[in-house]
Amino acid sequence: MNKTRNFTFLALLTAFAVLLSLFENIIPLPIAAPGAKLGLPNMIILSSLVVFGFKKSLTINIVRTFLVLIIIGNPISFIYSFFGAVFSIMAMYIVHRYFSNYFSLIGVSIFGALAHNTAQVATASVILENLNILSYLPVMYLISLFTGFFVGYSSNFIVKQLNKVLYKTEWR
Amino acid sequence: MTKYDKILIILVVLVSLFGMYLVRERASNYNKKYVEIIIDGTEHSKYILDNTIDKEIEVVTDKGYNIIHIKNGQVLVEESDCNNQLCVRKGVIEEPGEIIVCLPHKVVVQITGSSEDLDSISY
Repeated sequence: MNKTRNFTFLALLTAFAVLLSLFENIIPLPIAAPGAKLGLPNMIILSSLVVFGFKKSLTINIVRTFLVLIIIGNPISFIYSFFGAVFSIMAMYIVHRYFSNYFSLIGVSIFGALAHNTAQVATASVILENLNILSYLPVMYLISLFTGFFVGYSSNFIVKQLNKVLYKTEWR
Repeated sequence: MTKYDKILIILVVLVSLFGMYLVRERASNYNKKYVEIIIDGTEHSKYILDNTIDKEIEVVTDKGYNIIHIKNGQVLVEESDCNNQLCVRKGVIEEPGEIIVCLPHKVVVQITGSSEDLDSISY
């Protein structure tokens, strides 16, 4: 693939992911749990994981968390989202790479959401030195089923369109 | 969606329901309840929680304030100047194991219990 075009594409996807992070920050959620989110940027991360591979989507995700830190300026929530981002993408990579015979993108994205929540709650309990925070986990797992389902479902469409664009112009 | 996706979803539902049950179960074995206010990992104060106590505590840290209200055997964060207001929106808690977290201020309000049963009774 052409290097410059590749680079531009990654930059575009990163910008999308940042936008979605900012967007989901203004959406109020009915439940009050630390780190509970819709996971909208995960659509971009998951699709780029499928289309571009692990390293590039990991880069997108890490750059995204840094950019959100600069824009919003909340170092504590940066720590949570950083660990959540890294762990969720590792879980999604492993499931997609080795178990994609069994799980569709919906399953992959649910695994990512579960890993994200686990990492965030674990980080919170380490920072606050309080294991009771782990009692949030069951509720958050239930919620992540819904968010994971919709993220996976919509990623299907993004992957389809991305592949269409990439193959049509023979960038690969 | 494949067969395994559905199995995964059902499994997660079962595990989380079981987890909620465990959290609740652990809470119901106590006959004495306490409210602990923890700031940045160290205990700030501790109060007995029962239906008769009506108390308002203002916790001030260098990051901001939280007003915690204990009333009718329930605890809530009434007011806070934190940016996400999750602690206020969490509402009331009343069972041991329940917890309110204000991440921006590193303030944790949790209910703990102890089962101080009598060792022996002599007549």
